[in-house]
Amino acid sequence: MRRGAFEIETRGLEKQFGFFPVLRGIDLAVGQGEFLTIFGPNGAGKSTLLSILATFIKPGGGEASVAGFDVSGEKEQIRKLIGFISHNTMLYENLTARENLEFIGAFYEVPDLQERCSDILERVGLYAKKDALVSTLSFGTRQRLAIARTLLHDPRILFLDEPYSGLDYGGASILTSILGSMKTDKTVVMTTHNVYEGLSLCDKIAILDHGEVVYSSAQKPGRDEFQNIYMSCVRSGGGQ
Amino acid sequence: MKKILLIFRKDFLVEWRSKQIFPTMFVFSLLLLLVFNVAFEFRSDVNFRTVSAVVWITFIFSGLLALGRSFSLEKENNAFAFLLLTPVSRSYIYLGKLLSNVVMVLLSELFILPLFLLFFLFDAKGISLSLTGAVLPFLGVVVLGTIGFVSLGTFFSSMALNTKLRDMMLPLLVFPLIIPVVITSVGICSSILEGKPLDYYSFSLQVLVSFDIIFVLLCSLLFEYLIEDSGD
Repeated sequence: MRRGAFEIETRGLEKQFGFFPVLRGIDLAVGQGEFLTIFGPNGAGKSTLLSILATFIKPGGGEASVAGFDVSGEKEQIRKLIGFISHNTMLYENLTARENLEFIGAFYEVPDLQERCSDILERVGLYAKKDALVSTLSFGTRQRLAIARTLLHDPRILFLDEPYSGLDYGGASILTSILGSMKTDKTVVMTTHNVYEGLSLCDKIAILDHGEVVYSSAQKPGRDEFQNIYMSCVRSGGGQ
Repeated sequence: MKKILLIFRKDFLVEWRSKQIFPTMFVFSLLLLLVFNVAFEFRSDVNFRTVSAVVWITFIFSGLLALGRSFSLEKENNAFAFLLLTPVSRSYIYLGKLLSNVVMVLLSELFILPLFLLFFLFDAKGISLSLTGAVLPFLGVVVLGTIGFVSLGTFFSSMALNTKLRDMMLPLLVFPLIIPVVITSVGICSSILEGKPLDYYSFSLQVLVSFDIIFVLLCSLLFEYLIEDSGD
């Protein structure tokens, strides 16, 4: 699948771990500059879907493209264009905040890297902690640093896997304001259990359950309406 | 090359601050040499082949400690997964890890070698330790042999990364494959200690260099397939 009209597109996407199917024919389409929030109970396949789109893992079947590039065969082109934030910070504990940014930034060949690191640390409110080892930072602070690292190379597409998980109020506000400021020029796919943040930021929503898209809409519903939709769609009936 | 050096620099910085690998390797090597020294009761009439085997067993056992930790440190916090997300060739990641592992193991070997001299060759009969005739060729073989076993060890430690029994898997995977490197290295070191000329062991030297080239090339090419799906 290549050069479609959509920035992110999947058709009949499947994945199974051993004999256990995790994704069963996912069809999704996200246009350039759109913000899709994916809701779903634990084990629905949300993280696996993002992992495939971010080229972490191979799809088991079907097709998926990101920015017109196939996730199976054109991984390096996709990796240049995407950023990934997970509930796992994926930081080096024995490097400082700045060293973590500089290490990853060098692989993306970010111009004026030192200056860019200072700017981005300032933006997430961590400039004062630039020389602190990651092992000495709280989880919320680490998550903010992980956000800074992801934005360092100014990715065109963002995959956010439960980004609010473990963030304190300050961290969540910073993330919401950053995501809000990027809404027009970046394509974002976010999975979350946080209904308030998920609905306030998105342009469209999808609900995943047992590896299938059980609901999708290009219009975001109100919170009460969403609650009803969610309860009627999700077989396990809870989680959100 | 810049990206390979970045990984090397990062690994050294992490090890310098965590001090997890190097002290462990050194203490373990010291204990091994002590055990061998007591067990074999080395005197002045040493068998150079046995002595060479002892030093290579020590290098490999302590080296495997470093190789096991090398990717475990990456696994903590899943930092390796983020590295895999960057648009860097997997071969560069392998070569960066290989470079840092080789330097780390060689540094520990530099500390082990004086102890080895003291414990086993201090008053050995018939040994010539001239700089050009023995010391430099011996160090050269140590470097070549180390590249050989570390290249395979780095490859398989990444493979064992996602297995539950990774500490047990690594020796099981690596030992059978490094046998040719070890036998060749032991043979050359023994010849050097016996004072044999370069012509005597030049063919073995060529074999050792060939192993190094094949292992490094093959491992760097296959690394991408090995770590497929490891970001999950």
